Amino acid sequence: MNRQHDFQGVGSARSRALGWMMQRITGVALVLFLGLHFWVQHMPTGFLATAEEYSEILRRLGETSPEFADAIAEGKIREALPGEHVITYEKVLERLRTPLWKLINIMLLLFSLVHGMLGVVNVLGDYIRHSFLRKAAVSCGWTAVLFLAAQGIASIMAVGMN
Amino acid sequence: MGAWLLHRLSGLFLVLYLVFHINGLRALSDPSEFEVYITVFRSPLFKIAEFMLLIVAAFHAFNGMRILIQDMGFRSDRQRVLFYGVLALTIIVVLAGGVPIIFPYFIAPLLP
Repeated sequence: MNRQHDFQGVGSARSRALGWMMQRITGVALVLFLGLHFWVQHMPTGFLATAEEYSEILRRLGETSPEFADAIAEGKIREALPGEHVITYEKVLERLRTPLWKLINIMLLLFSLVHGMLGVVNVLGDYIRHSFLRKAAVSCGWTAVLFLAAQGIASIMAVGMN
Repeated sequence: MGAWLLHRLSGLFLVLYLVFHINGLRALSDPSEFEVYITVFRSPLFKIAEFMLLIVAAFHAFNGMRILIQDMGFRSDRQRVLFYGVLALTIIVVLAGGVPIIFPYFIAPLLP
């Protein structure tokens, strides 16, 4: 089996080199973007609601919307624990009203999808020996990436539109 | 070999999580649906899952940086040292970032 045959289905030498480079560029970008995402969405900062703020948000929403009041009464939406910081629509909306934050989230989405798919292409190249199957699997993967990118961008852009 | 396997497994896990996460973003179209969606993840079980996700993501990120450094010509006979560095950084980030996540659920109730 020659080297050329080994790589059939995962692209030409040039596209593999491009994929290798993109994997590294998106990887470095992801460390920065994911670090920021983690700080904003998972750490106890002003980007999340404190237990007191969340309680106030729930009280206000319960008064203005029967839908919210029902969800709170049924326990589908719960008060925060003491010291807990909660991701809430109001705080997400506050942030995503800014075009820069929307752009940051879209970039994070695209970097994650491309980095993930390039990794999957490597794995498929290692385990699927049949060239046609490999090409088919890689094509399906990139189609899924396009679909997820469109869906994710639509979700991010939808914030604040209602 | 172990680092290679862990990098591959953590990467595949993160790809699966990414698909799940992007699907979840659809809840952003409706404020009440979003609060219900977030409440599901505010349970002790999901807080442990969030902690585990941090371990996987931090390891994958630091090990990826190690691979990048080695690609840039770092001497391969120091691989082991670099890998220990990856593990040390992962532990530091997981402790610094993970404790605040689980604190209200598992640590605060134990405090007097």
